[in-house]
Amino acid sequence: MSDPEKTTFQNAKFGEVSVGRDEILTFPTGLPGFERCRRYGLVALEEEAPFLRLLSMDNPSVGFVLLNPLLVWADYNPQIGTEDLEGLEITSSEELGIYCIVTLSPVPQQVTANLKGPVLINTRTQQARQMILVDERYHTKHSILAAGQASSQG
Amino acid sequence: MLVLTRKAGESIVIGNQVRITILEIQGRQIRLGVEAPGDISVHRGEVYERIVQENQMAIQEGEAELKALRQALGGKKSKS
Repeated sequence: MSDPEKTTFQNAKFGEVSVGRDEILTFPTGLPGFERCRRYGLVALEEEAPFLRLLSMDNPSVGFVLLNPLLVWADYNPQIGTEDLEGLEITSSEELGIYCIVTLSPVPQQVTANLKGPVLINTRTQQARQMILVDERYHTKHSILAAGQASSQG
Repeated sequence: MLVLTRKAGESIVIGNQVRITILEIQGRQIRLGVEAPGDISVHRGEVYERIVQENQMAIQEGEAELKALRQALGGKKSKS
């Protein structure tokens, strides 16, 4: 029986995916390179925690893996301009969610996180955008495993 | 492509919300000032392209790859 509170969509990998209203994110201008995909389901699979799936509701073959960067880089501190926050209508820090997009690889050492282009979410309105940092400390390929090993040793 | 010639101090207006001003011309470099509302993002072209490229590489959805990474991370953590 389908839950009226849930929205279903198709995904190439997971088949029919069902999400609640609070799991739907809207990117008003899409993501760079994927401008036409505006609505995404943010799906947390228990067996993949702490990674999350950001699955396009508009294109079954578009999906990303997200990670809260602070879990790996506790000192991650992107300079987010007031204009970016205003664009998302974020008025307090509690409303701000930050994720980074993970680029997978068969070689675990080569799985990287894009810290240059974090995904910002207004957790109140469920609106999101990928911002591009000017910050030179961050680039698009930070090895997750290397950072994870460093932080567990330290 | 629309091509316009401008001098330092002059500007162009795009739509009714975006203004680009030529602030300074020094040899091979030009300083631009961009005024745009917060919902219009402005980026250096090459940085934007890098993000597009990374996003395109990131859409592969490997369960096996994620599993291997989690095992590698978990393995190291349990030893420490």
